Amino acid sequence: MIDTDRIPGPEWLPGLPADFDPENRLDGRTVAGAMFWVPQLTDAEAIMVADAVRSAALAARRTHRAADVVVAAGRAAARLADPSDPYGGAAREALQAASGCSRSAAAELIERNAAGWTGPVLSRLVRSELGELAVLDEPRPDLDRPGRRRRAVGPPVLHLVLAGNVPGVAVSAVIRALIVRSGVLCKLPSAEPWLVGLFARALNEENPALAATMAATWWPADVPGPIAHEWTKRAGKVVVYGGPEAVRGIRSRTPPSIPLVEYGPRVGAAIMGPDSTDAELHGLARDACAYDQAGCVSPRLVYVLGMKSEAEVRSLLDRLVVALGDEITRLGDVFTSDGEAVQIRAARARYQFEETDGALAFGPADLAWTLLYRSRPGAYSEPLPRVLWVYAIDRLEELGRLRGVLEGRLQALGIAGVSEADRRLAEELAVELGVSRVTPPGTMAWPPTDWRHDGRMQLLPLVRWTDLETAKHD
Amino acid sequence: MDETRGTPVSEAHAALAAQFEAAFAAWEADPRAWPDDVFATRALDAFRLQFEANRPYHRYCRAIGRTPDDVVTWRAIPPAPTAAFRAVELIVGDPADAELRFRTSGTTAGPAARGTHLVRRSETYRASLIGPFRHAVLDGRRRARILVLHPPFAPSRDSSLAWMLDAALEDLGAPGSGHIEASGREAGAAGRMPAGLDALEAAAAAGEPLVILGTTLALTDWYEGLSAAGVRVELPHGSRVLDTGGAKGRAGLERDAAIGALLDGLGLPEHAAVNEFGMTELLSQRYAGGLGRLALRGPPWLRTRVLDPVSLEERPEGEEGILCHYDLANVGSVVAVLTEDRGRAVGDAVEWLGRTPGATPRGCSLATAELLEAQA
Repeated sequence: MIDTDRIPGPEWLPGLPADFDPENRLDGRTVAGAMFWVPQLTDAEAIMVADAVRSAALAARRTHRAADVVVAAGRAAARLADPSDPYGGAAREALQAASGCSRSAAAELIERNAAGWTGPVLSRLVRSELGELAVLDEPRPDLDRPGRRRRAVGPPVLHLVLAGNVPGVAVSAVIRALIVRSGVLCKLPSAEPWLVGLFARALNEENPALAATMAATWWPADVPGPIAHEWTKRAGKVVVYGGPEAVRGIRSRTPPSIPLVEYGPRVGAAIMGPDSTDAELHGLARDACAYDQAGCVSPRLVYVLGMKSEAEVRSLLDRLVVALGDEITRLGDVFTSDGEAVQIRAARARYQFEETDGALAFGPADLAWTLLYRSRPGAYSEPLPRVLWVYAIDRLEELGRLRGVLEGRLQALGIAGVSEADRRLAEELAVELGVSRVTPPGTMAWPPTDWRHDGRMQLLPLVRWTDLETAKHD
Repeated sequence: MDETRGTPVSEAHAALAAQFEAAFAAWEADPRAWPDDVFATRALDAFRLQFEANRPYHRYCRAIGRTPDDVVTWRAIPPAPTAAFRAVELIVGDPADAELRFRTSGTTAGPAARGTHLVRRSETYRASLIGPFRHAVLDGRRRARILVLHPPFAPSRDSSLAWMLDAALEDLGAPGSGHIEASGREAGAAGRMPAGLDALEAAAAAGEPLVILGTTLALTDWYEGLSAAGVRVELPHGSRVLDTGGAKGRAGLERDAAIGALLDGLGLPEHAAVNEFGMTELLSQRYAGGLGRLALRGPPWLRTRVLDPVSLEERPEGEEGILCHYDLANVGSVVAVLTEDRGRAVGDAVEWLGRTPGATPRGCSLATAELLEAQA
């Protein structure tokens, strides 16, 4: 249970009267079953919040520079990463309750994410996508075009529909929206609803004027209600992260006049050759178990490439089994829902009962992890926690034959233990399939801040550009 | 796997099945609970046979490291998840020796993933069915007028329910019994008299109880037809309405309202309703009388444990979990079946609470299964 003395409600709703006392509350439940409550806003209250955020964002453009946002957001986020800070302690406790993970795993999740929330890292992200930070404050000379200046800024209000599958990523999305100088209206994820609100409160202590430019609350995705309608209507752009249902739902209710930026579902894969080391297999296990494999970068499909014999395959699988067991021991508690348990057992059963394709299933009785192997190429997987679907391939061309399934759907690709020639081929294949990141196992689950999510930039889709030309150019 | 400990599989199975059938028949004459050691001995005998002679199950037991040497209590018998029935043919010996081949409806995993239950010896199914049915539905009478609202069994339709209803009709039906197939709803809509009206009137005229069997949906539709035609018949005391399947396949259908209306229309009290719980993967059934919360009771050769879905540890009485059945009538396939159903133990009965909701995908990870299906 969440200790409500230490962890405030998930919502952050500036603009409401000081004596605001909601008539009703909505109750939600996280992945691991922790309950939370948020006020149920009336139409008028939802509009009040949206208008207040918009006004505050426009005011902040006059009083703050983008560099101030980076500094304030970095400081607020650093407090979440600091276990001795009350917000840092609350963040760990909330994350633990939300996902059912251990205290140490919660700490690791927050600290890994926080590495991307520091001022220098955020500044680097802006430079890599927009050229310089100041372009968000004022027109800046275009060095390639004498006489031309450029200005970039986000819409006055961005509506973010956040996903909670990768705890902390929602905070990253909010920070990016603040940096482009937009007011931010967030729909919180039920999977992990608290971190964004804790970030907002920490930001409020660092810089109240900037905290007033964001609002966050939750509503059931299947009963969006008037608040979803009002917030969408007032947004200059809607950004949605999540699974197919979430993306479809938002798409259907967003008017065509409002641009929609979608980060939809994808899957991670790894190609493991015969020379894969124990360290690389442990890295793969770590990537697969991080945040219960719920991210689009999480490896789910594994291709064992170019094994010379069944014994060689078995040896690699045995080493991967050890790595998965070690990773679970390192993480401590892991959570599996009742529905997931039933589906994992069903998946295991298919491999344990069937004799075809050299089917093998490994995994402990408590379902902490599962490895399912077939001795032929395949692309079947299900989004279940800590389950690897392993297929044997002799040559990379066999993966190319699965292009129809994998193209545009693979997010991250790990490669290890293959020859240099195969590595080059695999990298080329990754480009053709639209993989957004190729990286060694062990780093798949933690992409850097300036990674091209879904093959796209992260700030660029949020902003609008204005070119200011004062002289004729060629 | 042609032999089990020196005995041909067919003989080993036939001997054990005959022993069980005799025990089922003996229970009908003396319907008392079996002592735990009696159930355990029989269940472990069946497990040993299945471990030796059911090839996919043997492979499964080996994969999870369980053999008859270390399975010494009936609770330790490894249950086959219902998903296994969708993946392989679970039968003792050669699948070609199956007398009956039943298919699941695909309610859980969709029509593309229907499960198969091969029945090596139909007599075992019949022996498991008749005594408990007579006990729960006919109040011990040898025969009764039976009206079945379900198509007769045909191998091409491979429905275990149809076979079961036919067997009840054959073995327990008195003169005046039979099937009706036409949908009452369609008949009512077309302005025709719903089928079965003559059977109702004949039973009423003769003063003989009538037992009406069907799925909850079929009974609901049939009553709608009767109602639309303005039919009202008072069935004699002792008549029963047995429904099975619940609201499966139709959202919004509430059993209590639907069956309650039917009872009212036939002039029957609430206790005339009997609910049957069965699964294609099991050859024994549970029954509960009345409406509301249903305490389902079965014969002593069917035991059910309520387990924690993750750890598979037994949940205390009254707590929810998933149902794991141990059905000795499954002597020709697997006696232990782990379902995807939620339920709880209530004394010596089980309350069925529905399917375990499917896992909601967490976040933005993609099921490539969907993509493969989309490609197919």
